[in-house]
Amino acid sequence: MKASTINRQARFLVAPGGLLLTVCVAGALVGDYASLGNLQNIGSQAAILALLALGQMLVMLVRGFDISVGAVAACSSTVAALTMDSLGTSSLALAVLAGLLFGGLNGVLIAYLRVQPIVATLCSMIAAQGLARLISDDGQPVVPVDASSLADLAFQNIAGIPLLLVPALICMLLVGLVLKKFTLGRHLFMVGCDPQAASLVGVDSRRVTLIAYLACGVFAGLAGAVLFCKTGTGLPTEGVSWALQSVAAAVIGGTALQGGTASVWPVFFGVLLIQALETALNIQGVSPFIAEIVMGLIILVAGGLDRLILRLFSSTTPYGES
Amino acid sequence: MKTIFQASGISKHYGTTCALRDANLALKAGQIHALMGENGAGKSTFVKILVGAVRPDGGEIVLAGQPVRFGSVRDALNQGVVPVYQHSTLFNQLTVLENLSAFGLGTARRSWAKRNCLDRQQANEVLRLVGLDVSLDSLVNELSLGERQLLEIARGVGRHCSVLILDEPTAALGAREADRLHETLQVLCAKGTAILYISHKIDDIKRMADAVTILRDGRTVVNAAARDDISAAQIVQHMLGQTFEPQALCVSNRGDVVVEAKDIRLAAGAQPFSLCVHQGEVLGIVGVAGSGALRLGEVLAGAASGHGATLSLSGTTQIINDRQSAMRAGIGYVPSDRHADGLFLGLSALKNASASVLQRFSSWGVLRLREEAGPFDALIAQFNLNPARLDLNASDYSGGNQQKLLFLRNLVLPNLQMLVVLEPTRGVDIGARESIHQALRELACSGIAIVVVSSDLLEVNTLCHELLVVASNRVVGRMTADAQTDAVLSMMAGAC
Amino acid sequence: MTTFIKQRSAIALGSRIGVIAIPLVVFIVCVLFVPRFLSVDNLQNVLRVGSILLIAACGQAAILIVGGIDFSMGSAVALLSVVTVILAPEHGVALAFACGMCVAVLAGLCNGLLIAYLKLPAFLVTLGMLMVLHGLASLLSGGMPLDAAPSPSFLWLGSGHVAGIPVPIVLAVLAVLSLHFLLRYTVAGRGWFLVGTNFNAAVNAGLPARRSVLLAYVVAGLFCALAGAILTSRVGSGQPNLYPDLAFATIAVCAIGGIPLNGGRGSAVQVVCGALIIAMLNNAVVLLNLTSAWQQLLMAAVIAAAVLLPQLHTVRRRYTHLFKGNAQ
Repeated sequence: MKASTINRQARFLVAPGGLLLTVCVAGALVGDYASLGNLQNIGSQAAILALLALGQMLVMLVRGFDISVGAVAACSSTVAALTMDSLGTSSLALAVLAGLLFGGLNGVLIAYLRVQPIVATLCSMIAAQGLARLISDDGQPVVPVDASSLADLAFQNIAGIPLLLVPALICMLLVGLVLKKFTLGRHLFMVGCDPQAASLVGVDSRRVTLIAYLACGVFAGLAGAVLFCKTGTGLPTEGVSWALQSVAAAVIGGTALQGGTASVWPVFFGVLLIQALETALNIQGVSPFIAEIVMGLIILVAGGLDRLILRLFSSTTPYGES
Repeated sequence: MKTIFQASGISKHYGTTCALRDANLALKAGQIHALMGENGAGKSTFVKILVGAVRPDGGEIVLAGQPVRFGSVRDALNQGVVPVYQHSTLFNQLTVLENLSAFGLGTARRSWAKRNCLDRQQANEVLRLVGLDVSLDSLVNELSLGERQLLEIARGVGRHCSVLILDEPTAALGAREADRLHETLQVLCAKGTAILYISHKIDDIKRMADAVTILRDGRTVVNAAARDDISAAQIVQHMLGQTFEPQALCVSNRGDVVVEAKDIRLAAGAQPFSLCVHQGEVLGIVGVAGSGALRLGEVLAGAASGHGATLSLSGTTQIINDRQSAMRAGIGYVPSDRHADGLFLGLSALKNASASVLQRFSSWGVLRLREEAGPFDALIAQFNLNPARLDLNASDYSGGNQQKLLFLRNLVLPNLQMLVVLEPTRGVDIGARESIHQALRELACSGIAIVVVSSDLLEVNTLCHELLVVASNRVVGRMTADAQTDAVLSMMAGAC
Repeated sequence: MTTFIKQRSAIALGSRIGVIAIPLVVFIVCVLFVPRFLSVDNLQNVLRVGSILLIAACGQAAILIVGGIDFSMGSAVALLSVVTVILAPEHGVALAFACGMCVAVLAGLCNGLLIAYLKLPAFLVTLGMLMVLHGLASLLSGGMPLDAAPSPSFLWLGSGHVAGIPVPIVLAVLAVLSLHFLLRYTVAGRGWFLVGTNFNAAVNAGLPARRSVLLAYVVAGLFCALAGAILTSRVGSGQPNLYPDLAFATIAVCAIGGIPLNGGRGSAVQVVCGALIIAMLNNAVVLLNLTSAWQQLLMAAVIAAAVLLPQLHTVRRRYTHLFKGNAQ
């Protein structure tokens, strides 16, 4: 097999492989780890990060990234909490709408106004944080008067799958389908691979990039809704480290920072890997600080993964003249 | 044969600058029509107008008897005018089938991707037409350079295409792949496609084109001359507007060995060889794309590893293994792709030119800015830098003048012993080409060793004393400058 | 082509004037509309508070110029503060600060080595370091803020004075002057511009490109160490969450000042302008009694304005550029 094919496959095997390894090792060392209950717990906790990582994957596919996802999720959860009393469960839709708006802001700034992704998403991150503080009495968690319709959602399962995880799974199925089978999905790959070439063949690169950021915003908003369902409160200041973790999950899941390469399910496995690792360390009584250090080291390694794989599996570049 | 695509009286102004004043072109169905012109003659603007990327200020375009106005590249594509560019516009991460269908995918109206892709049988037909033998599901980054070029053409041909515009199609191709391209073009001609072939290479054009149109100063000076009615010398004359005399070669005063290179392997596992470069000699290295010729140049400059090669200055034990040590030893380097690997495009020309000699006008790490421009005055005159100043941004200079900046950078090295130049005049107009060649000759006469790697045999023949022919990562021949072109070509092709 | 070059120089001149003019405009607006803004005390406060961000932003600017980025600054200063506070009681204030600052410089060195020599992407390396350093800081401090013994020597950096001027301001001025000198007048600084513009070309021209990148991260580590020391001294404690958004704030400063994030351009003046604008606006928010929410919203608006205004030129230029015509 040619080097590039191996490279192509290998980057997407890291996440599932790592997850398997973690579960096996943890299952052996930590009692009760591989129980259904524990796995469901991991799945439920992964619900939020999965949505954020999915959105992150899409924008990384078009050569960008989004550090505002955490703040947007927090802001959306606050919006949901505030409107719960008046609107009931439609407040969740409002949360998604909030995400859509921020996603649109990012998309317009980056795709149409040619602002660098780091600056644009930094801008919307600060704006989301500010907005969340504004509507929530300066950052206090917002508790709706009547959250009974949400009670127990965090603990329910459908066919063994945690209910909270279902939105993420549905979104992943949709995104996977679009990427493989829909023209829009192929356009996303084309724009990520070579934006100029994409324009030359008639792809509206700006529109495609905008759609990627809109989707990322929607998923962040949805994550906020899930957060609200999970905790029953709106948390305006939550989510600072989620943006980092979503990037980590996406990269571990084989998404290339330079764009043009991405696959949905490995990203999900990346999320599960992070959660599984955290849970394992938690159960073992390892200090959360050490867990954080481990997570940081994993990100460092994930950065070198690309080059490591290339080194391991080939001695020359595909052209022969390296 | 019918004229199916005609541009008459095209004019285009940018502010007060006039890029085109009266450009004309008439393409006949089933013909390969060459378009030639110096950089600055308006050729690229003209082509942009023909493909719909730019709207002309005046003039008319007639396609299949109907006057047309292209609103965009997409518009032109839909009407059958298909461009194939110099730089690759393929998608590495997409399959061959998807790339073939790229135009369809890009302008797609239907959401379901497969519906916008070519039917597999159709796709295989197109691949067979251009002589490309790869699987529809392989990824583009698994293909060789030549295969990619053919795929680009196949892509253009795959949809309705009445006019195919090829921009420097053989720039990155070897002789064998260029021949395959020629065969493909003949097949397309037989089907009635009109082909516009844009190239700098005169011998290419004499071989392939049926008619030639030449632009100069924004005007068509030769309109559709038949191939046999115009000679190579006349072509050059029309492009330059003056007669062109090849310079006499300075007699080689080859001195001692200045650089020794031992155990060079152009690829891991290839056969090692050694060579020496002498003072005052101009050594040419030729080879098709992928043969290792460019690689050999990079190794000699210290810019690439020779897989175990040792490069050293004669008479010293100093081993050179990277560009830093090479430069300290006095080996200058002009890379083949000036935009990607040579120039600092956001910075001033002065900063570009002084990049290698910062030590010369600094002490203890602090720069003496007033001394920075001094060493360049004589060189600016020698190279005819236009505009003759270094304070402008490097991106404001034309291609030829940008190339001159790279030469300035190397010629100002205090201890220059050898200069390695890859593709010295690629994308450079004839005037600048002459200045560069002249400067190289003078450099050699003053005792500097020069290594020139070039895909332009004419250039290599006029400049070099000796030729190394490289193929399949080996040196397959060593010839003197007056060798027959055919002999060299067959040597380059033979061992592939 | 000459008309185009004239246009381009006019735009360059315009942006140079713009860089200095905008903080001036902000200043005037604040003077006019914000009560108590124009008092010596308040102005001194603005400068003192802004000094920390300014010094750190000098470091980020050097990194941006060389084409990199650093997200780990917030955790580096946190670790610095924790180390300093832990060491101070037993080893004295001066040594404690020295050690703390060494830690920050080491963090910069680490970043630089991983990015320049192992060629890992800066984005991921500094994100990973952010977590690693934060974890270390939390581990050492037990997750809680540690208070330092309230000695005047400890608080000198943050609250002391030199010839009547607050120490942070003096240090900030020195930092800015050093950055300016480095960028304009040294081989190292010139190397940063060259490497940041085109890494391959720098290598081919014989420059020590990797070393140049490493140097940028180490120098940034120095600036970060200085900023962190001042901050630690000011708050008198070591905490893992001392200034978690520092890196983002420095990026905002550079963006507002007009330093492009893909390398090759930048100046000390731009850093100063960006830092002054943010400092004045933050001060205005406090004086106007607005909640911190407004501070954040205002900051977001300013960043957006700062990066969009120059676009007005390029949008017009896109249609008159000689070598790029676009029918759209």
